[in-house]
Amino acid sequence: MEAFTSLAAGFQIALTPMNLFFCFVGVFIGTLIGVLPGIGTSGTMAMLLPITMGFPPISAIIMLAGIYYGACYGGSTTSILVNIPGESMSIVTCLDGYQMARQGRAGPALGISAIGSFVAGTLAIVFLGFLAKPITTFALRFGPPEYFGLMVVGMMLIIFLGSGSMIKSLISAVMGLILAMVGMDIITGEVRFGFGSIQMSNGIGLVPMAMGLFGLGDIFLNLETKIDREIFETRIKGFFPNRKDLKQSSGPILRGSILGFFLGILPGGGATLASFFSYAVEKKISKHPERFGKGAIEGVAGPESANNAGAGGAFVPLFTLGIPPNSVMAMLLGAFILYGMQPGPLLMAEHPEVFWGTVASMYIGNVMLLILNLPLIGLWVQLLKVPYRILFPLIILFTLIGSYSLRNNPFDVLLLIIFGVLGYLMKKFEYEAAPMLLAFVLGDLMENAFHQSLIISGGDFSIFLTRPITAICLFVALTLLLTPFIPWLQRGKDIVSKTAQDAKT
Amino acid sequence: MKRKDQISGVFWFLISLIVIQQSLSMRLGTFRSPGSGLIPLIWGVILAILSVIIIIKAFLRTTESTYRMQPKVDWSSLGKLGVVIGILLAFTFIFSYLGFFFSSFWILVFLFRDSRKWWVPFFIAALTVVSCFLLFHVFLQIQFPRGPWGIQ
Repeated sequence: MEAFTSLAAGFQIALTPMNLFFCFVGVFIGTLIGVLPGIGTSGTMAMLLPITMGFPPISAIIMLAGIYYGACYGGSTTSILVNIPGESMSIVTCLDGYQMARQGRAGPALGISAIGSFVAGTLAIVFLGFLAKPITTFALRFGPPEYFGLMVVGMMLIIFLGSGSMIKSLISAVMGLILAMVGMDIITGEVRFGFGSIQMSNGIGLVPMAMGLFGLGDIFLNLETKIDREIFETRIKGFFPNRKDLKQSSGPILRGSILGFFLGILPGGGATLASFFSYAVEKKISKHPERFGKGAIEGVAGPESANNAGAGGAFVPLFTLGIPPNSVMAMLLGAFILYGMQPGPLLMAEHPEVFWGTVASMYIGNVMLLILNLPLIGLWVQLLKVPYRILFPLIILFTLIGSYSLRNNPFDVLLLIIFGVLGYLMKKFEYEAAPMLLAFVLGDLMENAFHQSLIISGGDFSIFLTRPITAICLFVALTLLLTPFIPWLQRGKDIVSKTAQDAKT
Repeated sequence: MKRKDQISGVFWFLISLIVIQQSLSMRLGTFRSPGSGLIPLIWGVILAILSVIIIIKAFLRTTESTYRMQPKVDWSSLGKLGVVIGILLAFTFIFSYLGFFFSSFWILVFLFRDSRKWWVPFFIAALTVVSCFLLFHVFLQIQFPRGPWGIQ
């Protein structure tokens, strides 16, 4: 009952004209970047973060959240019509979505994708609203050792569930932790890795780093590859799926929503993994698995629902524990910190308007997305025709302005370019950038939790083993670290990677 | 992959050496009372170990993997990439001296230069710079550096 009352208060906040406007802007930009390949969610959020500094925090969070779940909607359009996923979470939609388009069923594919996304997005918000309170109540008992353990296991899960080499992901995470230490040590006041530069002693900003790794890095990569966008030229009509389509899709939508939400909560899980798993599950339980890959509507309905539910689920660990499960949520955590708030168990108590206002705005955003996506499909298709040579200079200028504007410091622009080159090289050398960004965001929090734990215990390391939650977390983290030596666990990781690979190829 | 891993492994190893050297120049303290250098030292050592593993694994691998995650490189575009990075670096240094309008206009003219008609890059660049100025400076009140003529 309390949740309903709080949600009603959240709607009062979300329905103010200004917040409605920011919600619309967020979902619109989200759909836009979802539609346009070559522009990622994390990079866009980093680009817009400095701009939102003048906005009220609740409006800024509503807008940034809208970008994330809006991108989940938009990503499917390019998968279905062009066979190019706008976002990684829509890769799997290409398999059956594009085939449906080739068979003249682009309308029902886009329709079921929007309906599934809407249902899953709404269910995920309901789950988020009702799960948040019990988790935060439980998390209030956590002290620094528990947080340290949770952050370690969260980071290890991200490394474990990553699609590439585990050692490379570990290197990426360790580099993130090292980069987080650049600047003044808040405990001793000593400058670390300053190299005699005053600029370096202020530390590395999250925005230039994220924009460089995910925004500029992607642009550099796209500059050396030709983006071939051949749009499926057909009249798209009849968005509403027929009765048979709806009957075939109802199960996948429901299963995708539940599976997606819980995979979304998992660090490293998120929307992309949720979509792969949903596809694998639907194919496995189908009476006619041979239809998959040839235009089966279940292959669109399940993953599209799962990725939206996964996006909703990803808010749970951030809002309740203050731990971001993926790079996009890491950006949102960075935004919260910039606005002077700390997400976690105290968020609901200290800033209920932000928590419930954001949750309520997500309901409204889902309705907006349904309206935006189907009637405006023609507009999105036209946008796909904008050549990349026109788009990329604009994105570059936005990243330059974005990184400069946060501190009015040209050094941040230089950092942006350095991280852009690093992001590009990491992609070329097949290193994942997400663990680096996450470790960077969590680095300070982790070090503080580690120091505070040792202060509590008087320097006794056994505190990490005698506190049950910390001990379990560290044990799980160690097990994940030793994956290559544990055959059944390695097989599990291989299945995850293979599912991802199967869907990509 | 083999060669890529050798190169990247050596790169991270060199980075780890810098991290270790810098950490050792700070106060290390003890595990009970850690100084500023202790945790960076631990991360530096872990980075060194991981990079050595990458290098050894790459050397032990007998064949080049045929699997490629990244799309095939169009080598003719690599030069274009180098020029774009150079232009962006130049922008970083001229931005504070020439102000927003001039520096942004010229990098946009350069980035849009692939157009068939000579005036198109100038037109799009001018339009973009004015739109960005209105959006970021007038609407969002972001301060840009002023150029030598007092123009932002």
